[in-house]
Amino acid sequence: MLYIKINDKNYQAKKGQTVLEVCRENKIFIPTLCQHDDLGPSEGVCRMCLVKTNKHRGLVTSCQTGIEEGLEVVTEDFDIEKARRYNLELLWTDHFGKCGSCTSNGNCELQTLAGKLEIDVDDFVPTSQGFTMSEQLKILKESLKNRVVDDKNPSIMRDNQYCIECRRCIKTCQLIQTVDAYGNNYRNIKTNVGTPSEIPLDCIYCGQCVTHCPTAAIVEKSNIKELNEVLLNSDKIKIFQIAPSVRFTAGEAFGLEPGTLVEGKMITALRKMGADLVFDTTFSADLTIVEEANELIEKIKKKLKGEKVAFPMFTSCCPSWVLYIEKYYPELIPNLSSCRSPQGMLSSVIKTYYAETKKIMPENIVNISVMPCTSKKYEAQRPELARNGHQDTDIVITANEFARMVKQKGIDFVDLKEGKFDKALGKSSGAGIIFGSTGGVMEAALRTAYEQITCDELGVLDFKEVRGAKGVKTTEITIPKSHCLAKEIKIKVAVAHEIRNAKKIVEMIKEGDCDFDFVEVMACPSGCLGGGGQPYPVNEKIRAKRRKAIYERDKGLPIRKSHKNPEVKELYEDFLQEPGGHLSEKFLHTKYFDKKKKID
Amino acid sequence: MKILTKNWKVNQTLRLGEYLKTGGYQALKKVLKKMSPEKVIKEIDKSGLKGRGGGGFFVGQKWKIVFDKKKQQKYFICNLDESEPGNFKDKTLAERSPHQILEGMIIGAYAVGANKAFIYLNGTFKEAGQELEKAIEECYRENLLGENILGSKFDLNLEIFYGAGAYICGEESALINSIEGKRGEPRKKPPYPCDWGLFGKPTVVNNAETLANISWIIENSGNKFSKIGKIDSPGTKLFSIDGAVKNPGLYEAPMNNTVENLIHLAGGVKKGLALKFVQIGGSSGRVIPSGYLSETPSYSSGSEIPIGSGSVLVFSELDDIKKILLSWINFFQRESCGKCVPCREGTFRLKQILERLDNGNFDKNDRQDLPKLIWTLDNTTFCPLGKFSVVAIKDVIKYKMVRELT
Repeated sequence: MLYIKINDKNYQAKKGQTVLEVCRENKIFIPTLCQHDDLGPSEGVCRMCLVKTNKHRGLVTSCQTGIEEGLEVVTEDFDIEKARRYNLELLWTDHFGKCGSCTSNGNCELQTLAGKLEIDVDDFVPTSQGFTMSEQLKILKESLKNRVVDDKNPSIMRDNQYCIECRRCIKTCQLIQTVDAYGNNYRNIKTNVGTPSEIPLDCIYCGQCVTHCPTAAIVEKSNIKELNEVLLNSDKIKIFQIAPSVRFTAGEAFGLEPGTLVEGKMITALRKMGADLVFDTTFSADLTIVEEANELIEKIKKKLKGEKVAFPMFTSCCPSWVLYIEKYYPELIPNLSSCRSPQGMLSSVIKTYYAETKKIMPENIVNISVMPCTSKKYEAQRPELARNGHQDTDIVITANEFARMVKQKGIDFVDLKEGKFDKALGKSSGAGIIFGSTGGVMEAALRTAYEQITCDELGVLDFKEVRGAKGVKTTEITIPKSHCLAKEIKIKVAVAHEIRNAKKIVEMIKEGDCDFDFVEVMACPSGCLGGGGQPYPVNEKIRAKRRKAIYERDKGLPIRKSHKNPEVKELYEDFLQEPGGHLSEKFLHTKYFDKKKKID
Repeated sequence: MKILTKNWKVNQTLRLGEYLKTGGYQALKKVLKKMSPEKVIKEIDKSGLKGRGGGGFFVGQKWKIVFDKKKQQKYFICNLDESEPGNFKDKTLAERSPHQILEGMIIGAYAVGANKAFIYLNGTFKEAGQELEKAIEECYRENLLGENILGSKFDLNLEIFYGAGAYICGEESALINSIEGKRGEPRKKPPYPCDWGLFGKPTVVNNAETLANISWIIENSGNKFSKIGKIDSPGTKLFSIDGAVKNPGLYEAPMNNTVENLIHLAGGVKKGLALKFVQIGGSSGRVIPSGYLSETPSYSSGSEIPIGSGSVLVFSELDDIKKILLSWINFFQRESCGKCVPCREGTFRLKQILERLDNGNFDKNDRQDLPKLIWTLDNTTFCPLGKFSVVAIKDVIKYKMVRELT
């Protein structure tokens, strides 16, 4: 413990902390724009957090200044106020005048700060009569001549006109995902954040840059317009599905505590907006588990027989992870489970089984999913996930877009009544719910695999080793011998979230010293609950609350095993017959393709 | 008194043969045969030699810090990025006497225990590059570089790294980023390059002119060197004197000369012109009106006029101060790396204001914004480039040199 003084008051702090961290802990306000808790040491780019200390000359960035014994910090004085104000004015002048039409209006860190400091908009612009309004605007926006708008991918939309060059996206992509899609282009006033040579964004579409962008420079590619068109003008049947994790996060956009369960309110809101049916993606998460556990068991059986099988088996519900393998390690495609993601499965089941039973033409169905994820927008457009020229999933909106739509329609979300999912594809188990967290798919799969292999009931359902925020979690499960299993077997599993952690396992495979049987990978921090389509700002504290809520929900549910979901059972009895059967193969599984860039 | 240029020949490069004839590489021989690294550093420390790039940090101290980092890879870098407008000392030095720089580098690398050295050369210096390449080749041939230099146990590999000519890459941490293949942007200091330099290893970055002094100090003792010039700015200095003087060019003089003396070195002010003001140390240097010429620029901490990189630009009544201010801010805006808000945006807004000052549209709003921008650039930027960009305009305001700014 160290003792430091901030604004003449004594505070305790831990060695290695920065001044900013100590101030945040003690609720002392210091504005920041370029700093983000997820991104490690700050770069000191925005100059908002300047403070004075007794050990440094002039103003220093509190985000980069480590504490030491006897440090005395001043966070408010005339110079500091000036430094913040003038720099913010400079940023604001470069950014000015687009709030009304901006998708981040009301959720923009720059706007919030400008509001707090009451920044005027006309600074640094001449006022003399010599200038016409358009000349003034020209002077104001002269720096925007390198405007780049990139909307050539289905998931993420960039417009560097909104960019304040804080570099959070660069660091996010580099540090968390190791994809390195962004960097700085040019220098001086023309400096902008972009892709190499401004090629269209070429990445895994995880959307972490979206949730880490303080402004609207990087946002999800919105499908609100398209959806509104359908809701208002189409006489097709509009079927919504809600992903497991968004029911714990969407409330944040309406001021609710992270982790608040808003499942019922979401259903009601969707019905108000014009949904004909609302199904639960958690149902198909259960379905995924049944298929995936079966696939794993078959592979293990083959391995035990001495056949050559690609191990470990990777989960395939995260489209960014699948795309990462396709783009960077296509040689590992055989390791990916062939199961479609829950979104892919439910959309497919709706347009086949459900359409058949209800005697609806699949073309007359519009499948709309509310997802935690920008990458799901990309997944929905994969050509493999289509039938007769129609994509299985028609429109994907993120939790953020959902919240924006609710607000646009003037629905008082917090006061909504609790709705219920529609029958047939609306029941779910706790195993499906925990899909939303890192380790959840693994835990759900283990619950099912254990019982399927042993034919016995699993006593303790919680696999605590695969829970939590650790980057790579590993454990070994012993499946004891039973009347169905002649000899006990051990299954070694690993769970990784964020590509930087998944990469460790990939490297182990490359080195030839990976003995895992089954590996779950989610590209986003903490899995879907930290997804690129979730409400932001976000940090580990918020994600921890969401995670806690998810596991609590699982605990409270009567059914906690995917294969015990009665509607899943029904689906197999009525339609699919058996896991891994030829109908499953046709409707629930998919193929992957080598998408590695070839250099001639 | 001349140290650096005493053996130079007019418009000619000192090739290895001639350099050896004038006593070249004697210092290196002495160092490798008779002196331990500690002793070399002690000698340099005694000389009080300060870095000639502009910062004026004690060379001996810098070397000592890196020397003390034992048992690890270390790097030695010669900063030859010289891109301060009005400066041509390092470029000329490399063109005329490349071996002088190399000898200093080899001695320095030996002293700190580095066996990999780089010359970070401004890529636009074609001729200097050719001369240095030739000189390095000569050194490898004569075993002045490579393995077991002159029969000692000291190895050194030296190569030129061609920069793209960005001003900011003259700043040591940006220079290091550039060699690492990263964007030429300054790093946060501390840690300084001595602790965390090239590829995270302890690294010395010395200016080319600084290194050219080393052989003389070794041969003639640090004591002798410390008696030249001013007490806390010992030695001589290369002055790039240009503008409204009779004989513009590069001059060497001890560091105890007043601005007036320096102008005399170049033959005084051009005939028929009256001196209006002088700028010392390039576009980031102080601007001194004609009434203040008795000041002595130096590296001393109390010096009113920092000598910077040692350029002396003389302006007459023919020069329009507004145009000059504009050209400087254009330079700083163009060379801003774009990393931090105040420099990226501030130099740009300042440029717009100075454009309006130049074309007569300077208005009351600008009058309000100008001090704000100057203060912001002076106090809140990431690296000193922001500070540099307003040194001149601050003087122009201080000495009331432009009517609108009074």
